[in-house]
This record gives sequence, C-alpha cells and structure tokens, in this order.
Amino acid sequence: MAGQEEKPIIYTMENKPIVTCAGDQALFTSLYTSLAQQLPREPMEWRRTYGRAPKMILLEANFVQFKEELLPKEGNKALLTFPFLHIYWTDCCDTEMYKSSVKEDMMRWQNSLRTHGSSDWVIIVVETNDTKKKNKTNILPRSSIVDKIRSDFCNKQSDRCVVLSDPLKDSSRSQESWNSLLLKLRTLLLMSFTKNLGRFEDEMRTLREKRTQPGWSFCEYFMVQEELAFVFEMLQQFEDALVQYDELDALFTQYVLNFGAGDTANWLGSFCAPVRNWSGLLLRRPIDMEKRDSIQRGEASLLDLRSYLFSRQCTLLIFLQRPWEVTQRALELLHNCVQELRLLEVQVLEGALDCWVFLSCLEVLHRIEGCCDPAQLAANCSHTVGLWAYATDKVPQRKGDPERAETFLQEALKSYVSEGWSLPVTHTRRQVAECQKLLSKTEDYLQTSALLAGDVNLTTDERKHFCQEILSFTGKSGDQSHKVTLSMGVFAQLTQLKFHPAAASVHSGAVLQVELTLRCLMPVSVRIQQLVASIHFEVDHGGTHGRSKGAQRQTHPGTVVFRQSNSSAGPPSSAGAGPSLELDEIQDRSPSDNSLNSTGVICKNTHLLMRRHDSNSPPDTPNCISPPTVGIKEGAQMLKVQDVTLEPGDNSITFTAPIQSSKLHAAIFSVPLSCSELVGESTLSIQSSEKVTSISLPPAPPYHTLEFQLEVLCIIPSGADRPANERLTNGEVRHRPRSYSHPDTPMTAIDQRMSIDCPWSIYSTLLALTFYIPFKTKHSLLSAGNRKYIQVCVQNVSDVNFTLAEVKLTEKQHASLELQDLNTKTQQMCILADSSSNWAVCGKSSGMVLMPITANATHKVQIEVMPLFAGHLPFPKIKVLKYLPHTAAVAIQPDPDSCVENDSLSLLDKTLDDQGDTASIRSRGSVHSVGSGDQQQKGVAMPRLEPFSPGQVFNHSHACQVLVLPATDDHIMEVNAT
Amino acid sequence: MCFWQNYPLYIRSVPTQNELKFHYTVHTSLDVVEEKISAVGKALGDQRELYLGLLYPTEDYKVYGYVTNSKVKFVIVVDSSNTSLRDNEIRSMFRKLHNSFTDVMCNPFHNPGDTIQSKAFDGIVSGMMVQTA
Repeated sequence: MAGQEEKPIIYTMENKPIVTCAGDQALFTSLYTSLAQQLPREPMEWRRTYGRAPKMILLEANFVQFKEELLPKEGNKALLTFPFLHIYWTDCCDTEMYKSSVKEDMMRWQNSLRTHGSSDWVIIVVETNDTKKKNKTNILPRSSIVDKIRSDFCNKQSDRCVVLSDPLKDSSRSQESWNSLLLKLRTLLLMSFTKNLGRFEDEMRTLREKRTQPGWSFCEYFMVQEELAFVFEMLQQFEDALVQYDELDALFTQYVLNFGAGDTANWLGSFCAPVRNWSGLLLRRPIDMEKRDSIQRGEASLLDLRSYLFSRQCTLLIFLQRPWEVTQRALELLHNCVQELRLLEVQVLEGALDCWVFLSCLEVLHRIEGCCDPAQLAANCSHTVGLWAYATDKVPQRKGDPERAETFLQEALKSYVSEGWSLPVTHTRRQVAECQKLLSKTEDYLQTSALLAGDVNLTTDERKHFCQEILSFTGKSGDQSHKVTLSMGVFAQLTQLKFHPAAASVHSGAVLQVELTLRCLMPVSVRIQQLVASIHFEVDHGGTHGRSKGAQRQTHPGTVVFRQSNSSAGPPSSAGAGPSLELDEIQDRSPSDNSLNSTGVICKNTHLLMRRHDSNSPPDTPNCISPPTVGIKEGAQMLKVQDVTLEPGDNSITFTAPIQSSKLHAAIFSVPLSCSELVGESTLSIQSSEKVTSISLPPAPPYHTLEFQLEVLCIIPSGADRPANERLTNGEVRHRPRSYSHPDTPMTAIDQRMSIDCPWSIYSTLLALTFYIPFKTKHSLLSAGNRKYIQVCVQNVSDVNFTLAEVKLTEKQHASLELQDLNTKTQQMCILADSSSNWAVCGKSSGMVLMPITANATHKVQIEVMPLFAGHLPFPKIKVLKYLPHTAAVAIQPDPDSCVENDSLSLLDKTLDDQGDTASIRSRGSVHSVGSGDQQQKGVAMPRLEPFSPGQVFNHSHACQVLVLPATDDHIMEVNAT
Repeated sequence: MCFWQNYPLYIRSVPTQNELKFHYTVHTSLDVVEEKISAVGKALGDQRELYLGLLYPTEDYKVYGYVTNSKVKFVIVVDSSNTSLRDNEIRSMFRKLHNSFTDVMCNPFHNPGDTIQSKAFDGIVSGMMVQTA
C-alpha cells in the first residue's frame, strides 16, 4: 500500500486508481485478495461526457488504508494520487457496539470526507454466520444494523450501504452478494471517474482559456493536462492519453507559429534560450523524469519540451501497437524542431542540431527495433527508411572511395541524361569528373571534361577550366604511346555541308569545294592542327546527284543542314531517341445493346513512352549522332585542312576536293561525325572451321565505331537421299553441316556459329546463323518400256514465293543421251455449258482452252445461252474439265507399254470445239471422236476429259441468279476461266 | 515550384540560386509519386484521387504531388517555413495547374512531350508564385 509521500508518485504502469479503506482493517485485509482479483474480472461500460463514445473498461484499484492526508487539498491538481472512492468496512452485528464505537468512527470518517468535498464513498457491511457471535444475546437481525447505518448516513442514497454475505464461503448466496458488491463498486468508481475527471477537464479548459492573459504558463498547463493523460493511461485508455499529448503538441506548435507571425507570448521566453544540450530523444524510459522536472520548473528548452512530449507519445503509440506511426511522427518532429528553432531564432551551436537529429533518429530506430521482431522490421522498412536517410544525411559522407562513387554517379548520370534533367546532369558529371581525376582515369576524365567544357549550364570560367584541362594534357603528352582519342561530337558539331558547285558534280580536272560549318562548343578558341573529313565516293549510285545519306533536310541545292539537338539535354522527343507514339482507336460498347459507351484514342506503347529509360547508350552521348552507316569503300578520300583555329560558335571550313578520276560524276558524301579521325581500314582475320567461323577484329581506338560487312555464302548440301553407292565409292563420308528440321517450319535448317573476337574484350561475341533451305527436292528414275523418265520434284517449303524458271536437265559426262522435256507448258481445258431445264444453249455449248500454267493467266470463252423461262433463274452451270490429249499418259492405263506402242498413232482429234454432241463428251473417261463412232475404253489412247479434283475449280457465279424479263430473248454470257 | 512528367516538361523555381537542389528534390519525389500511384492504382482503379498530398517532408521543403489520369506528374515544392500554405491551398494550386496544363495540351501546335513554352501557363505559375511568396 503506497503511502503518501512528499514527492508526487513516480508514475509507472503499475499505478491503479486509489481506493481508500477505513473501518475494520483486519476485516478488509481478509477480503482484500478476492476483492482485488474479482474487481477487474468483468468489463464495465463507461459512458463519457462531451459526446465521447462509451468505452468498455476493466477496472482495477489500488486499495490503501484511509488517512486524512490522502484527501486532496484545495487547489491540488494531482489526479494520480486522487482517491476516487472511499470504503468503510465493518462486520458489526452488535447494536451496542455499533452505537458505542462504530457509529462514531463512521461519523469521523464521513466528516473528513465532507470537509474535502468528497462524496464518493460506500459502506460495506460484512455478514458472517460466525457461531461465536451468534451466541450473544443482544444480537439483532442483521438488517437492523444495515437499516441503522442507512438511516444514519445515507439519507437519500440507500445504495451507499452494501451488504456482503458470507464472503469467504463458497455458496451461491455468497457469490451473489459478491457480484452485487463488485457491480456496485464498479459503478461507483466509474461515476467517480466521470465526475472527477469531468470536473478536472472543466478546470483545465478554463485554464486553457486564460492562455492569452499575462502570466499564463505553458509549462504549468502542460503539467495539468499531462495529469489527465496519466489518468487515462492508468485506466489503459491510451488513445485518450495520446489525445492529451497531441493537444499539447498542437497548442505549442500554434504558439510557435503565432510567434513567428509576430505575436509574442512572454512564456515562450524559456524556449528561446540558446540550445545547450543536444543529447537527442530519450525513448527508453516511459517517463523521462529529468526533462519532466525541468518542464515543471519552467526551465526546459524547446528541444527538452519536444523531446519529452515525443517520448510520451512514443510510449503510448507503442502501447497502442502503432510503431510505424512513431517513425513517421519522428521524422515530422525532427523536421519541425529544426524549423521551430529557426523560426524562434534560437541560438544553436554549429552542428549541434545535426547532432541532435542524428542521435534522435538512431534512438527512434533503436526503440522501434526493440519492440518489433526482425521480420516485421524488414517488412516495414519503408517506414524506417526516412529516418535512416535523415540520419545519414547528417553524417559527413566523404568516405574517399571515388571508385565506387564513380559507379554510382555514372548510374545516376545515365538516368538524368535519359530523362533530360540538364542541371543534375551537369552537377553529376562534374562529380564524375572529380572522381575520374582522383582515379587518374585520364581518358575518361578528358572525355568528361570535354563534355563539361561545352556545357552551357556551367559558368564560362568553369568551362574554360575544363577546356584548359584538355589542352594542357595535349600540351604535355608528347609521346605517341599516350594518345587519347576523344569523340568530336562534344567539341564541335557539324551543322552544315555545302558543295560548290551546288550540283556537286564536276568534270574531271575541275575543283569541287566542300564547305563545312562546324559549331564549336568550346568556350575558347581552339587551334586544330589538322581537320580531316573523309569522303566516300559511291560510284554505283551513278546518275543520282549529290544526295547525302542520313536524316538531313535539303534546303538549297548542294547544301545539307544537319539538325541537331541542343547541347543541353532535352526531352527525348526532341532528341529523337524516344519511340514514336502509337495511337489506336478504342470503342467501348455496352454488351447488352451494343450502343457506344465511349470512344477514344489510346496510346499503345505508353510503357515505352512514359517509363523512365535506363539508357544503354554511353552516358556522355546525349547529343551524339548515331554512328554513320557508311561502309568504307576502297579509295576513300580524305580531305585535310592544316592548322585551323576553331572559334566558339559557328566556323566555316572549306575543303577542296581533288578530282582524279573522270569517271566520277556523282558523289555521295557522308562525314563520320562521331569520329575525329578515320581509323583506317583494317582487314579482319577470319578463320572458318566446320562448325564455327571466328572473326578477329583489329584494334580500334575508343569512341570509334567499327563496322564490317560479312558476306556469308551457304552451300546448300545435296539432298538427303543421296544414293548409298556414292559413299561407298568415295570411301569416306564428307562432312556436312549439321542439319535438322525445325519443328515450326518444314524447312531444313543449318546452323553455323560465328564468334567475333575483339582485342578490347576477353569475351567473344557469339552469333548463330541459321540457314533455311527453302526447297525439298526429290528425283526418281522411272522406266516405261525402253524409255527412262527422270522426275525431279522441287517443293517449296518456305512461305516465300519462288518462280521456277528455265528448267533444264543437263548431263555431267558427255554421254550421247537425248533428254527431252516432258513438262507441259500449258494445260488444255474444256469448258462445258450445262444445258439445264432453265437454259438452252445456242450454238457452241463447250469450248477448248489452252491455259498457260502461270499465275493469273486468263482466258475467255463465249457461250450463248437462252433462258427458257422468265423470272429469277440460277446461272447456267459451267463445268471445267481437264482435256487430256491422246498423248498424255493415262493413269488407269493398265499396261505402260501399250501406251508406248500406240505412241505413233496419230489421233489428233482436238477439234472438240466443233463438237456439238455434248452428251457424249460428258460421258466420263471417254470421248467420242468425230471421225470414229466407236467407244474405246482401253487399248487405244483417246483424248479424254477428266474432272479436276475437288477444290481446284472455283465457280465465281455459283448460286448467282439472273432476273429474266419476259421481253428479253436471249443472253450472251461471258465465262472467264482463270 | 515545379511540374513534370518523368521527363521534365516545365520547371520553375523562384529563388533561382538553389535551383539544383530543387531539381534533385523533385527528381527524388518522382519516385515517391510512382510508389504512391502504384500502391493506390491497383486498389481503386480509376477512382483515384489525383492529389497525392505531402509526398515527403524535408528539413527545408515540403513536397506535394499530383498525378493526372494520363500520369502527368505535378510537383510543388514549398519552403517548410511557409506556414500560410495548407493542404487546401496546395490542392487548389494543383487544380489550377492542371487546368492550365490541359489548355496547353489542347493547343494544336503543342507537341505532347515537348517542354511547355506557353505564356499563359507561365503566367499562371508566376501568379501562384507571387501569391505564395
């Protein structure tokens, strides 16, 4: 039992609302344990004032012996030590005893309560069926004592006297009376809370209203409201407790803001004192008494107050299991404190605030780590990252690791360049330059310097400095071994190319002048020892006049203007690097009635357009023109100018091209812009083995593009069904590239690997070439009697159309073989008009057609028909049949020799055109010749008609109808056979 | 005060001496914007609130974000000490910017993706900057 002390009770979580006990102490002590246990067993609904939501609350109490000193004195605002309920215990059952001593004691107790204005009390009468007491004669019924007490003390509140029956017995009666007692106690406690806290809050509010009056002290008010927060915390109402601190926080913030706005509050004085202590937040203890004391004494600095306030909020938030709110609030607090100190113009030692922020960040992180398991922490790293970042912000970050720094900076630079942030690009590039200088990456450094020298975001002095860096390097490096090649694009840009004469076509012996306009990006004039432009004459384009390659606009004849992006990085659309918009129309129709809901245009490649590009291009080439696609031809011309000085801005340089060859009448110029000089032509060394072809590239200086053209010739291997005897005669199997059939395509594929080795990389670039053989060939030797037929089938298995032309079979050795081509060039067809019941054929009912076997060949046959009826008539039926002349081999011929024997028979009756007897023609497989009336099915080859296989003939007018008007006599119908 | 797609379309800051820091701040804030819209976009679909609120506070600046439905990002950076600007003011500033931006986009001579060189837009931005300064 906590007694009263001079100092306020140091608040801990163990605190409970104080309930005093007077009367029979021995009786109370015997009941204490079960009382303390049972009181918090069931929650009670606490109805709140000021429209706050009711809460379920578990009540606990700290039962202390009643002493008059415990009662709050007038003006004492301490709530924690406030006794919320007073209980008088008695088990008196003796009227005499009651009258002689107990009543008097109760009176004293009541009086002292009354003088302190406390009306929260209850008298508990304990009934026990003790036999020893029963023996006494002057025992009155228990009720009479209770009645007496009620009449003596509870004049209108009869419920202030409660009977507890047989408290230590395990009976239903005992339990019942316990329950009613507990309920009573809880109700009374809550009533007391509501009343006393309400009163307290009212007083507090009144105090707050006075805050504009002189002499008002925030610290004093702080202590008052914190008392309320303590009580709420004691009652486990952390939310309410937090609200108190948040209110204090907001009040203070408002004061500081008002102060900043010119409204001076005199109490702010102590907070404006210079910062002397920057030990950071302290969150380990639930209450930082040291800081609390300093606030109470009104000596706290702004940081003290803020720290204390935050430590309390943090404690409560952790009780509420909202640790992530702590991190978020912490960051806000730290920013806010820095701002407030600035606003109040508080003197802060240089770096002190940074220390405070750093320590505080770590403390918050430490506290959070202490109350969360690692998995939780990892999952919520997004909450802590801000604090970590802020903390690292405050630590001087010079680690002196330029190597790693450069990598990171290059990454950043890449993203800035690709997104077009010109200022960060310049800044980052400068840092990169610093790193490169430290790392003595001379070449890279000079390259970066060149870019910086041409950067308009820098001051002229800075640009001159970087330009000088390059020039001084060129000055001191005399030896050729230490040669650095820089891209020309960063020094100067070719803006215009002009020919004199304009046609760029000169006669042999005359002079062709080329005028180049170079925009020099350097801040100072630079003397150039030699300027070389290489020219590639492309003779094979003879006839076309001076057209130049690339995306250039031709404004004047003979003048080519090169469009260039600005040196400052722009958005990708203007830089030409971004993809173009792909727009598509969309229509949203409602599924039920197909009505149009909405229509619009969507961009199909938003992901390409809108995303941030991680550009793969080197970071230093935001404005580099794509490497010229010029194949270096033999006899490339070099135009040279010695000792030129390039001034900043546009420079014009004239070259005179010597014309040596009279054959050249047209020239196509292209200047390799990304190279300051032409490396020259080197030969590639190519080694080809059976499976792998390896190509070794010659060394090339950096920033040069190496281009080569490789002509690959694939020898299609001979057919797979090579006769076995060939192998036998050769005795060895010739190697053939591994061929296989691709599952997706019927074409046979041959894989050939190529490896490209370059001297600047240890890795080889591997290329796989796959050749597909578009044809399948098959040949077979057929015998028929004493003749041999060679059949060669070429099947196109690719999806490209090929035309087989000039088919010829030749013999290898000169044997006296007579090869005769049996391929038919034409196909004879017979077209028959089917005279049905609807149509009468007038005159010719059929026609013979000689169709060339080529695509899109057409032929026209006219057949006259006459409708027999008026009305909608279906088109007359047309039949197309194969006409097989007598020479053709007949499949159904049983004996091949008979065909040969009949070879000489002349049965050249092809004048079917003239035949009128369609009925006989239609008889399948046999033909009536005009001359002979015999029907010959077998033996003698006769011209025959054979139907095309299904699907080969398409009748365009099939199922068409013709409306025949009665007046019309006849129709001429055209039939197009294709 | 600045305003962007991922590629800067328009940047303007009033104390020009510290422009670089602003650029960095805004560039960083774009990541926060992306994070916010990717977190919200999935859940709410097209009912997304365009105003993203305070993206992140720094010691010196407060960074606010706004994303149009076509994912054009607007970012406003204000001095932390400027207490006259509350959420509502920032919100209306964004709305104004958005309206003006729409006007710019409606200009048939404007190429989407190009930097904004509209005088009207400039005027709106200048007006806001004068008002807040």
